[in-house]
Amino acid sequence: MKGVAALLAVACYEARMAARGRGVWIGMVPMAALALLVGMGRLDGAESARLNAGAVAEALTLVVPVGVGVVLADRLRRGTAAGLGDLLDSVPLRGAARIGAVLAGGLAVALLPVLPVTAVLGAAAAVRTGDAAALPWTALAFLVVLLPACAWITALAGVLALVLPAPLARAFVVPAWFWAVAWNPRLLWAPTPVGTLLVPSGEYPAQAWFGTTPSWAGNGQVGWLSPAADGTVTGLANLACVLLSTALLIGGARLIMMGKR
Amino acid sequence: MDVAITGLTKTFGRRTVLDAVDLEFGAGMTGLLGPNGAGKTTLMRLLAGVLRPSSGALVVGGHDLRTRAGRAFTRRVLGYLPQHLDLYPDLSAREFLDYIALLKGVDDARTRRADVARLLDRVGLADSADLRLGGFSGGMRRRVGIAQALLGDPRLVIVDEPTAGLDPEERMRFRSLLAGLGERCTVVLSTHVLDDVAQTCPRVAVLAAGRVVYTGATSGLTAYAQDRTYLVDTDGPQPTGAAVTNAAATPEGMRYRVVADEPPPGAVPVAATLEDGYAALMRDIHPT
Repeated sequence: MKGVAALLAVACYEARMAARGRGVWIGMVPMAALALLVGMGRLDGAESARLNAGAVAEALTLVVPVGVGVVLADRLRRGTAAGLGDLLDSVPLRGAARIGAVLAGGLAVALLPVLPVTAVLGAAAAVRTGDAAALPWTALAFLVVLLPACAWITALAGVLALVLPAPLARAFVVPAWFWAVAWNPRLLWAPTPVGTLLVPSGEYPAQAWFGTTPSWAGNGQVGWLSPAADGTVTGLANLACVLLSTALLIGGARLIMMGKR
Repeated sequence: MDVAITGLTKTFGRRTVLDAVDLEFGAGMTGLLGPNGAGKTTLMRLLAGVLRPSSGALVVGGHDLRTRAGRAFTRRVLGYLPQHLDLYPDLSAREFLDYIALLKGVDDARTRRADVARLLDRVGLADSADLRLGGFSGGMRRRVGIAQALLGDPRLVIVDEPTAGLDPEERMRFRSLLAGLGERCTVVLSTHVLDDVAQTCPRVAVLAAGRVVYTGATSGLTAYAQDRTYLVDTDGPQPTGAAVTNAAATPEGMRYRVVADEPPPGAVPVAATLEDGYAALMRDIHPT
């Protein structure tokens, strides 16, 4: 329990540092505005509060993680500055758990501008559908569709910035995200998680719990890894895969940081 | 907290940075001297558990750093100041120290606050405690670095060139801080400032090219230059065949302080200092 409290405190300090940097706001406030436009566009065809929440979350998941990845790419790299890496590695609370807390703190701040947008979209959906349940559905969609995607891209961006110069890593995050969630291998073949349980786009959870119609799920390149979106089981399996790959990226970051010494 | 180093070797690729080092540190302060590239920082990083030895053993308080448990134990008792320490510019000094205290396992918030306030006061930063580190001068940052090394009541303190960038007053304050620590824990002080060692460390180890070339009493290193230290006043070229430890212009020409086996013409013998002893040792290792 003490360890959890300490990790929480680490996340709080990292959030404080992220909040004090201008970069996160400069990147995320316009991204939140874009998310509002995209989300409002998806409200038009809303049939029910639940479906609406899933559709909006899917739409936001296409664009918001890009901004998150770009603004948070330097979070792990900062901890490798001269001497700081050695210092952070000489203390009892270290390793992958601390890296996870570092990323979580930054992510919490990066998503702050998106929270009011989500609330506005939820409220707008409630008005349009006449169903107050739109608000909790929207919150749930935020948690199971958008948040895992943002966690995944945050970890990926952190790893990229450990092996590439930070500006290059930020630039690389954008194509990396679209490769992960929107690459069409029929147009240009390349191995991609699109259509498989590994995809971080939230398609499977959105189908499972919000009833959206998946665009790619089930049509991935590896058959056994691409089951048709079929409710809770595939939704949970996809969430588990995304969280596991996020954990693997964090573990990879840890190995890279150790290798740099 | 006893530290025993046996046959410690560290290589990076084909380059051997430490070569079969044997050393022991007991309670109190030990100075670690040596020219650039001697392996001091690598030894400090090995002691801090940041690097793993290529071969040999490092035992801290009876715990072998080659084991996971040994490294975990060392982290719990360690205070470490790396040679260069970049701080988070977005945090204040108080916040940074609180953050590091958390990472060091000081879980109780009240204890942390008290510890941080005490150390900020001791390094003379109480008035700047709530200013962002990004606006701190090099000396102030160094003092924050020193303070973080002392968080959590460490029993083994490893400080790598702690006084680099400090002004004379800060350096004196730091010396008294370390001297107080040396009464109750093991302090290893790596530095190029021989005066810091002379003032604070009763024991010293000297590394050169990855090997220990001297370990023992600081007075013993000073004695290396005893009866070999001279002042030479001359208006000609500097004395040859001697290690010049100081040179100063005088109205008549130049005054050289030298360490030499034979007194140069006109030389006046003087009492040796640690600097002279170090120069004599280096001269014996690498005669020119």
